[in-house]
Amino acid sequence: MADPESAQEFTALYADNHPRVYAYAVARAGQPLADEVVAETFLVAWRRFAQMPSGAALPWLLGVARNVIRERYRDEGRQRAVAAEMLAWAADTPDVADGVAERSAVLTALARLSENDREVLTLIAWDGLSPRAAARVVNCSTPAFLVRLHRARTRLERAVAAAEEPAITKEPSR
Amino acid sequence: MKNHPDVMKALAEARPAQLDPPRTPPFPFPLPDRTVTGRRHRRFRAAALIPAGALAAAAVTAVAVVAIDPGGPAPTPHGPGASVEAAQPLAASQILLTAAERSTEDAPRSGRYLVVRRESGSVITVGSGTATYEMTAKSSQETWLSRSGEEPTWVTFQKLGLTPLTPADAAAWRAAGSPEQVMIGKPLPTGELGPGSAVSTSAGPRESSSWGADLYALGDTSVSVRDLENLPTDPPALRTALLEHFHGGGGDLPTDRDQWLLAVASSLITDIPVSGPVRAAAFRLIATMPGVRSLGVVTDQRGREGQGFAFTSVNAASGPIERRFVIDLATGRALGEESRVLRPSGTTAKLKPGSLLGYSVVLEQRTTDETPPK
Repeated sequence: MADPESAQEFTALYADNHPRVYAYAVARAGQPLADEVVAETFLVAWRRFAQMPSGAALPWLLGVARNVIRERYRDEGRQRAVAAEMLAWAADTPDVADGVAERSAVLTALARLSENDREVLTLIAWDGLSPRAAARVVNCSTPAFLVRLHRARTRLERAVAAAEEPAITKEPSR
Repeated sequence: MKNHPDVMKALAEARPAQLDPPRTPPFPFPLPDRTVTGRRHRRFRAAALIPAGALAAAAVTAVAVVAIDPGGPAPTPHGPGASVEAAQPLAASQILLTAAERSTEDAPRSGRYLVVRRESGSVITVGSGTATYEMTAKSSQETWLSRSGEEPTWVTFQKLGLTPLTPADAAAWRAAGSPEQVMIGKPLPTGELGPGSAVSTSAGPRESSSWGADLYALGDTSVSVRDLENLPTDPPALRTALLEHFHGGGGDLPTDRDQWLLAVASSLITDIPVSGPVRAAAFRLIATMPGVRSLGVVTDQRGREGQGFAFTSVNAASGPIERRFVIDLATGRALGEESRVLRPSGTTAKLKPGSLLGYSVVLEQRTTDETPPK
């Protein structure tokens, strides 16, 4: 028996943001868990709807999703599964198109990074957030986020270089 | 280091199609009335804070089982007939206040780095073929925390692989052909397992990385080493300082203020390395909180004996979880902590009361001027 006005508003919020919360859930918890994470995120979001900051719905929702994932699926098993899934995405790439080697190297490199690094990188590159919005999701200041991003990016560059090495001997690109 | 100046662009272009949902499904549940939900939440808290007979009995039984089998790496879940009276355990307040006194004497030492070595594990129901059994996914972490905050912190992490939890689980694993890969599925709200993905049971390499950002958080707020070293050593002031980070909780932290405070204060005893005097304040603060109970003499997951205390952590998804802490009263330091099922429900519905869910043991904590191993 929710009050009709809030319910309508919330249903619209759900329709607008479902794809992006889902994408975040896949990247952070793996595809098999994504639907469950999304459902739980919106349930928690509904309970705390009154506290949603106006004009920043998405970072707030992703912050809720982040907490849901940390609460329910923070264990080793999940992290192994997510890394394994990322490697599968890399292997899944059809090896005909241009840029395939690079795409595969990037995904392989990403899978090798820490969960924290993966998070800051994908919030920007895949979820399309600004550093300020991404900082809200991980609950730190924007400067602190930029430092994390810089370091994660450096590690990704290194990991990509390492991942590309075997590929280069087989099929040199550039 | 700009060998790949466009690495963020390359990453954006590598965005997997799997991230896009096939469609937006209809809203997955009827919207519950928020005021009713809120009320239910408060009632939940009240239930958790009253040490009901059932909870106390479960705690006593768990202690007794550990006392009977101190060498076992993981006490097996006990049946209803396994209860044995534990002999006059220390009260929770005695344990906490003694630990606080010892911690006060644990003066901060000099050294560029604070080294913390710990092992943690989480118990996972795995499948191979039609069989399911419990395995513990273990990992070790060694942290070299720069105390000035000016040098990078180094974290070395190693996955130690999956091992069967009990002899019965080991037999089930062998019966399945001692598979190198097992299936791990999501725990459904019914306690059943969802479709799984294959995971290797073997250990991984040691991986070191430097860490420029803050490693620890109070609640959801990242805190620097300097912030941690400046935490108050007076219990009421510590309470105030911690509650500054309380913004309604949620996620993996309780939404109830007192429960949140208990969770965050106890993290200063095990997860987050703080000075002895700050740890003393955390012990004294916990001693003032309702719902904290004594476990008497218990062993951690490495079989090391200490005094235990516990509280109930309410979690709607998994049912109530008992968080147990093992303290070495000679030093006031934590040996380890673990989480056990109190009343199976939701994702833990298929487990027995007392089942281990996860643990962490502190193997070493010291300060040093040495250079971190890379």
